[in-house]
Amino acid sequence: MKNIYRANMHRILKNWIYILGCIIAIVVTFVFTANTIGMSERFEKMGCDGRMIFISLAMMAYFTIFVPLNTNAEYRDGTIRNKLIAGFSQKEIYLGILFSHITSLAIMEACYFIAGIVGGAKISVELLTKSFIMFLSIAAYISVLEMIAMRVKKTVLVAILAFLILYLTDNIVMIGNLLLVFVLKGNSFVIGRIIYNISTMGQWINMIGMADKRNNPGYGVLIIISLSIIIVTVLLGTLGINKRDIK
Amino acid sequence: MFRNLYADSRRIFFSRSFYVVIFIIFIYQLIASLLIWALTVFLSEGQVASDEIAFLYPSVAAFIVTISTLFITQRDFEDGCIRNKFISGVKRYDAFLSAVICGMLQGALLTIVAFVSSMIVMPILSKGFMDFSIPEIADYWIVITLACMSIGAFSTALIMIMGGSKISYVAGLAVAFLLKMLGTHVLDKLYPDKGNCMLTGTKLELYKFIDRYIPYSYLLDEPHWDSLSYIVGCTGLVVISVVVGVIVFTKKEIR
Amino acid sequence: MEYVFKANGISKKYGKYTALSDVNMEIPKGAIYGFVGKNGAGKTTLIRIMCGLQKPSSGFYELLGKTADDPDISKARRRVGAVVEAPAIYKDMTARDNLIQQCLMLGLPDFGNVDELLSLVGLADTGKKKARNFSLGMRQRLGIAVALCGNPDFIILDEPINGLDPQGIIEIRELILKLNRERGITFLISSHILDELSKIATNYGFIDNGHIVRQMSSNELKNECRKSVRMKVSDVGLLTKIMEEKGIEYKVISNNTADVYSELNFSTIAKDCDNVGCTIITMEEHDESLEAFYLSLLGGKEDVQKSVC
Repeated sequence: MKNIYRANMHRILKNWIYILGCIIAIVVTFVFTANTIGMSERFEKMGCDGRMIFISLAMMAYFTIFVPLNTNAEYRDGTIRNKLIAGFSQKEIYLGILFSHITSLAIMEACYFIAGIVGGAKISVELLTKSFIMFLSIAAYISVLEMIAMRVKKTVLVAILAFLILYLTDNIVMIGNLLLVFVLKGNSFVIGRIIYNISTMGQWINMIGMADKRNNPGYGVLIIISLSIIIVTVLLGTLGINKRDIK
Repeated sequence: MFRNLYADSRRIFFSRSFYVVIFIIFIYQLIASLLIWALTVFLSEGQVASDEIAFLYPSVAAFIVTISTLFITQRDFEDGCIRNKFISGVKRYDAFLSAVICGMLQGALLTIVAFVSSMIVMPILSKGFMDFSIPEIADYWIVITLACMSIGAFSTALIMIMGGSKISYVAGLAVAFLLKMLGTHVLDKLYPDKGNCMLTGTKLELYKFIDRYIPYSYLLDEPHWDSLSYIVGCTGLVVISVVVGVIVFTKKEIR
Repeated sequence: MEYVFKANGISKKYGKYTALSDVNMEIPKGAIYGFVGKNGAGKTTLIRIMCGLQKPSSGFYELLGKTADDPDISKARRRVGAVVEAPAIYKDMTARDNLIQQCLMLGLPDFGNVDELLSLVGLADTGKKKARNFSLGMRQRLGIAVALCGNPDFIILDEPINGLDPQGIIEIRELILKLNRERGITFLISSHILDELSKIATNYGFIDNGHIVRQMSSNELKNECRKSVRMKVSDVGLLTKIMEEKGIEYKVISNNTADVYSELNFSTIAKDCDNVGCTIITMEEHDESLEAFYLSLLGGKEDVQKSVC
């Protein structure tokens, strides 16, 4: 699996789309954090730290496109066969590719963090914690996309399902805001809050302070939710995968 | 041209993915209506007005139409069948126009299916319309249909322009998602829940333009502009898609 | 004898369709094994099973001494290279990068052999050209180069000369012979181009309708491929009389031509023909080609003999 990871990291780091993504992450984060385009009202009130966390959601949108296409290339180009012929199991390939994508997120996150600091954000425990929570949340999102991209071989279907997940995360937040504030009470509120924060956008809205304070179950719970999603998607994604026939 | 158009249209009805999308519309309408009914009846202890469940389709219409066109048009490039058309003498602009018209046809057909499914579900789960008269309901569905047709044309044009590349799989979906986000933001700024619109000058004109003339925005709220604006917006998107598309596609190299 | 691959009773079903049925097969070490069969006979299915892409519905196999459920099978697979159907290459990478990818994946410590491999398959001057811009032949060569990464002991090539020009076919043939001779690499080559296969294969396996019909060495095949002498004479009736008197097998082709299936003493035959008043116009030797043998073995028969190994 280590070799698969190394090989895939080599491939990602040579991919111009990824390099461009990192450059855009640096530029956009800097511009947004430093507010060089003169945004007013709500964004001005956020401050540098708030704006830096706000723009981190762009990485989620980026990986919605990058992860499915990059992973599905294994089926499109047939290169998964090379790995199987060399003796790797499909589970090893799955995990190797997943970890390489999470590493690529970490690299992009590092670019974003440096750009944010240069743009005026202050390094603080609060900022580091929020950045870490966003990293884990997007990693969990990548894990979901990976599960789809490795189990579904048709590229069209993978692209559609990836955007469906994106839509769902958006809808969960929109509907969730309404339900959590006006409708759900007691135990149903607790369950609703967890479902709300399963969505990366839900956690993001909590981090930027735009949601009702009661929607935030606490940083510890958010971390546990993200880690649980990663574990569950890996388990589901690798369930019976070694028995699958590859053409 | 008409022979090609007939062949392409016929292919829609042979495509399993088209029927899957129709099925998804039915299921979505049913489940979303049931959810709203359950929340209203059990949690709010009220009654469901037809207004709440009649127009659920527009919120996913852009996505659904884009999926349908992606499944059907991308297949031509994936299987290499687009080459057969040119080998047998079909002109580039014929093939392009035919594909775009079929995209519009898909938009229209899916909207009709959504209309029918909402008409089936409505009387079962709701008590009647509170705020809409019959002409207003008709107007709304016509606007949705026109918007879906123009979105079908646009997303098909995108696929034809980019066909064969990885980006073609995600371009239409990304545009649909981004314009939905943008449209929501624009609506929020133009028609805030509390207070008045605070936009002025160029920004106000830009936001109004987006709300008035971009078909993706028509699916986010009930019609609040005159009919001519909607016709101009939808026609404009179709015309731009066709003009730009034909220019690019006739020069495109097909592998 | 040592075998790199042994299949024992392998079957593969896809739902109700049986792609392979009770297949027994042995590939000797150091052989160039020609795997021959019609379209849809089951060649690629068996190759996929060999490569670990699919699992058999029943039966078992041994690859380089390890069975499929052996925990060390992955080590055995590291010594295998394969090109199955279309070459599996990253289309957005150059030839060099594709080979580096394969080296990384195999855990090779360096990429020193990459340039050598590129020269070997004739892709040394592709530079920064991406694989998506390669011709079919170039992709095929790159696929073979990828299979050669890691110095495998056993290479599986599914239709390797697909898309190659005549020069390319010769180069690949010579490459296979060179690697087999110098490095002792065992090859399994599935191909429809039988004449090409007959130039290099040392062993053959014929498959039809999911069964292995025959396995044989190239020597056995040579012996089985019937030699004949085609005689053109003035009166074929007189010739047939002579053949019958001598008890020699023959087949009349036309009213002046006959094939004689026997080692003939030409002087004796000429004398015998002269005695009966029959003039020999021409005589030429014929070898039954692999194609003809293949057709006689597999072509047009409803009932195919099950595996005889």
